[in-house]
Amino acid sequence: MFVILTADDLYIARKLFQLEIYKRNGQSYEDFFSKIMRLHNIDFIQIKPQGQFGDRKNDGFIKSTGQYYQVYAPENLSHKEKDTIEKLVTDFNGLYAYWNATVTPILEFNFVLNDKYQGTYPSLHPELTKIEENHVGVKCKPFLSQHLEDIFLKLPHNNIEDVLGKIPTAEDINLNVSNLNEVIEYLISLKDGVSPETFPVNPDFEEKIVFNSLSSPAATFLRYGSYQDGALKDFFKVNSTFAKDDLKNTFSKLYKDAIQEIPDSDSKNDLIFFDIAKKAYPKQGKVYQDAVFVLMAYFFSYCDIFEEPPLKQQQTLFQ
Amino acid sequence: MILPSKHIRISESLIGLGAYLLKYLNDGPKSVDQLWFKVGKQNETKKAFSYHGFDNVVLALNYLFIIGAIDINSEGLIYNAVNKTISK
Repeated sequence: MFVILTADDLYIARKLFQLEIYKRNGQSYEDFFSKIMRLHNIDFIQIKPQGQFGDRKNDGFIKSTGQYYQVYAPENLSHKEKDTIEKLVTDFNGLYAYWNATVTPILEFNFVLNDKYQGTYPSLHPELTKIEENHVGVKCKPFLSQHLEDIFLKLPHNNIEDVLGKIPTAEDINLNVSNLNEVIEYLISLKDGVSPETFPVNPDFEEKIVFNSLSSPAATFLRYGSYQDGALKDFFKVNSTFAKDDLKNTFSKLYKDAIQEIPDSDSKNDLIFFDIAKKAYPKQGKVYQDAVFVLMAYFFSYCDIFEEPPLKQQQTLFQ
Repeated sequence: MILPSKHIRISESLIGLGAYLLKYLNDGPKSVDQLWFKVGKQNETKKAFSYHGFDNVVLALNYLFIIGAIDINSEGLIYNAVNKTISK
């Protein structure tokens, strides 16, 4: 089926993509990179490591254009300056020795780094230039998260959904109560510890959206989720009253974990929003996504996730 | 949840349900079946603040027994162990 994503859908896709980048290291990042490259160019060939020879310093290449890709995705690139440069030099030498003469001449060497949008060291660039000078005709450049994102967002929309799963849309959130039970059971199984109770003084939904600088797509999910509040309260009334407390603790923990895990940026709160949503699905599927957004709207309105705007106070005359 | 909390109203907590059960025992000792019948009736009325299933009734009775608020007489009926005047 042909899929058309709107601007909002693409925004959400971008945030979900960024979360994958933040989450993935090592082999997991390499698999993610290869999947996108294969969808981008059918000529991209992924190299499977083979016994004692490994991948011969080549994680993937495009034979017709002479473009080679070598991936490096440590958990925290910012503490690996020396290792990164060493890897660049050894991997390129290994690659050149095996592939240049036997397969196809190297015209472009892409050193793929999961920089988690932090950029790379200045000291890497002189090394890349040195390689270019020593191997005439070879272009050598870093290939960072931003470059993978550019390729990803230009993929046909069906492929974007292949990578990320179905992009949720707020407008057709519909609470399916039988699936809600499954979502709740899954969330309760995640629970960890008890979070302190904070009673919101100023529970204004719209004000909270503005105060937490949530973007329009994220805000729309919360608004549409909150429209199902009645059905959710009916569900709680007859089903698992006591589950509400466990759910509060679970959502609160997911929120706190996301604050720690996601680096600071302008869209940090949006990333937190989609991170909570993604971790709360028991499995892929629209019905589960909808149930999670309704629950998130409920706990958002009680300030169990995201921050409560401070109460406006009139200034005193003599302050 | 025995006590009310941010998301559990007093009528939804076991302490709240316990209060209802003690009220029903004001008429004299009753069996678990009779108490559940009363709660079931209450669930159906529009006046009910919260719905309570049979599981909750059993948990609330356990809790009332543990704190010494109820006991069982020689006929196997539950009675109010604090206010003895209505327990006979």
